Amino acid sequence: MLAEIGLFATGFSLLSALYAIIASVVGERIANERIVLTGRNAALLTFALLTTATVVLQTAIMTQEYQIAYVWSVSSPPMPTFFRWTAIWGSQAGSLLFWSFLMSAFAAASIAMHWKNYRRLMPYAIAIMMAVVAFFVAITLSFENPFERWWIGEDGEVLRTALIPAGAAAPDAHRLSASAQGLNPMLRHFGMAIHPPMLYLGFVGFIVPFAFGAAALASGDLSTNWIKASRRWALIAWIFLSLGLVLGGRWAYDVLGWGGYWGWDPVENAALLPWLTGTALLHSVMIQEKRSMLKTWNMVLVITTFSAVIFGTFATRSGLVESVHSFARSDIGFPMFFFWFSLTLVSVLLLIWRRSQGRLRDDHRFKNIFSRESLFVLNNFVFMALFGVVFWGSFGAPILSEMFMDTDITLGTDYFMKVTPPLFAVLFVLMGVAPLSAWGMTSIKRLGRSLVIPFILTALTLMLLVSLGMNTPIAIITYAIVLLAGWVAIVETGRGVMARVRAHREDPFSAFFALLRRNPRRYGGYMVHLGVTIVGLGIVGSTLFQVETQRTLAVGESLTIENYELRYDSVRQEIADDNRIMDIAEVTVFRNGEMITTLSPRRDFFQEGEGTNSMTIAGTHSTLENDFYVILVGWEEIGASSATFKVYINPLVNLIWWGSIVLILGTVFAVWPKEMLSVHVRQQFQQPVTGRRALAGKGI
Amino acid sequence: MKMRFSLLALFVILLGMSLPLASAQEDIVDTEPVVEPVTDDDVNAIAKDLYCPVCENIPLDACGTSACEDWRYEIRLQLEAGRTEQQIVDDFVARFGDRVVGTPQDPVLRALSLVTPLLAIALGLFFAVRFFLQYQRDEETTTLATDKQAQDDSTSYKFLLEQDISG
Repeated sequence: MLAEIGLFATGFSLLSALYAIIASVVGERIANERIVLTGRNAALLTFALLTTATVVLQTAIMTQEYQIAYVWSVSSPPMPTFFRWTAIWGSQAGSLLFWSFLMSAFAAASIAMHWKNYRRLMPYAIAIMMAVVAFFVAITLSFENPFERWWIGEDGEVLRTALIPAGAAAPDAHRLSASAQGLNPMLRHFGMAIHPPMLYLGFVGFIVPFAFGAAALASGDLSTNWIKASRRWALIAWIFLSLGLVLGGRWAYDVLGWGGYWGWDPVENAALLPWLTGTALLHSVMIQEKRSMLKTWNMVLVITTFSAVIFGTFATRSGLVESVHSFARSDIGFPMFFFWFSLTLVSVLLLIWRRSQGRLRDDHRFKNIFSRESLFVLNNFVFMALFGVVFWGSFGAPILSEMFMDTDITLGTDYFMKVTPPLFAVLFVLMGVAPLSAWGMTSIKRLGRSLVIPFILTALTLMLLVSLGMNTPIAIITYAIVLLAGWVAIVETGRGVMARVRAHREDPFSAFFALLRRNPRRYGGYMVHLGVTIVGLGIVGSTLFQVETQRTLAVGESLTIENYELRYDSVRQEIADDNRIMDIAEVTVFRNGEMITTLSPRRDFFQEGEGTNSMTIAGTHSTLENDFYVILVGWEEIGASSATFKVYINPLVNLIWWGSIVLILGTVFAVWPKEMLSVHVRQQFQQPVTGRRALAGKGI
Repeated sequence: MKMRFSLLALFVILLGMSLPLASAQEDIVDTEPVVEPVTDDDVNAIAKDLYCPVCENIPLDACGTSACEDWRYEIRLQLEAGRTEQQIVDDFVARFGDRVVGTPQDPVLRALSLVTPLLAIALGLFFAVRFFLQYQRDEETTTLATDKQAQDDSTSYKFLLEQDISG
């Protein structure tokens, strides 16, 4: 019964999405408000139907309906309830449905928020959003249907179909549950409860800015309306994408067992690409808002960002690249490629059309290389350069060399560590300088004066680090560049706080929060920059100063690394509630001769269906200074006499996680609405909506 | 006399120089060479820069499959046989292709991989600077043209006024 409900809800959602596209566009073109309204309502219905389908699939997983093939493939009887909640995105079919649901949720929310205020854009925005939703629902139904079930045919053959074949019967429930595969062990981690939905929210969130940008091109409303409508959505998508990337890094750090958090894996890079262009977009739209400049460029950025989202989805799900992240090869590759190509082509053609009409001319020009808009453009250039080198290394070079030179190549960490650090360094310099420049005109003298205090503070911090023993030239230069950006953010915030303290006689904390309320974009932005600085310090420290060693130890024997000592005490085997076998080592850690902690690194072995999967969980002693990180590589079973450990010391790595929290908080402050959401949504639907003719009559 | 003294001095110098050589010869003859055992760190230092030939994009030192354990053991055997890091890397590339290294060994592919994006950035920067300078020139030209137009307008207006006054 559940499968039928889910299947028909998904099928009807496709029909309602298609109706929403047609009704919105046709209704708008013939100025028939009633048809446009039915299109809007069909889009809202699509959201309701996909919510139903998603809830049904989740229910099937929770109630262990193993006849549904997807439930059978991602869960099993001993699996803990916590992981049943995350299993819905544990494999291709469920994650595609979840993706479609999230996209429809964003569409419905944007309709609720902007129906009245941006009425001219809405029909086209709805059509574009529903077109993307319809595509993903269509490939879900056609290629990766999560509601297919197992059947036994008349001749005893095992079948997997959505609808019941003639003469077929349901398989024995006990045999189904006994053979259920369970969730991939790599996904049995708390990070997997959050990382995929955060990433999906980040990806699909960019559909709103894209839809409004494309709607502006289609409708001819090329004022800043599309930016005003979509800027907050872009920020929200950016928050989730940032969270998703950080949580993914944390998950990799905890379970992949190589002591790192970013491997320049193609699928990781596929998530980084829209983050790079999305960050450029968030900066660039400010220029259009303040100075009515870069109109074409902002369109290019919003199209590139969403195109990168779809390309990344295609790359991950089609088998184009393989990695620990990607789904198995599937048949959705060609349809996804065709969709990505078509969507990008149509968007670019629309842009070229409007530009040829002269509708995207800037109202102002760049006057000065040190003006804020010029520095923002330079910032955009660097982000696009990063986009280019990351894309080239992940996809461009490997695909082209395979196609034209018949050679499989991998561009790995050493390629990325050659080309990206200089670009990131320029970005940090700009992060320090650009906030101090003014819109329109800035002299280098004025800029220099503003940089004096941050420079002094940076120099003092470096002197402190040198006195603590840091003497590597490359580290000093890198820390200087990163620290300057952070000190600029702190000094500028401090200036604002002191001005309020003097003017309003407030205490500094109240003054700070008052500043955030008055100008959330500015001071939230400073907090984001500070968060990025802290993350940068963590990355520099853990990259330049990481040390590692591996040794096989007998029981009671120790290894030494830097001023640490690790002693192997014992190893044991345990069986967990979900039947996984855990090899757990006990080690004691000393620093400068004093015991600081005991750790229990382990390896988990899962025997699900055919074969065995394994996972490595490191034992970690974390401080702000560093992580002492221990992996159990292996051990001799007979007598448990010796075990092999790999040990890393990762200096400052925890600054990455703490800096990310500051970054996210800053973005939340920047995006927080000034009026209550419920009031705003109610206002959108209170008065009757006027049609296109009425709007045209008002000169809109 | 002088000659004899010189010859004697030369003899003493030569004798003095030969003594360390002689003792070194004795050292060489009497002691066996010390061979450092290959450690896990030595193996991982090479494995870190190689990629698993089967599971794409996973470094060989981090891959937990039994196949990767065998390949790391192979690296150990090759190190014990006295092979250098480059020889081991070349051996893996010869057997499994360029996909096992982080940057291709083939010079053409290597150049293409590393140079192409840098070239694209340089070209982009060139066009961006050119666009910016052109932008500013257009602004100056527009300002000059506007000024000239204003001047022409004022001249012809002045002429008309004078005509009106005189007329």
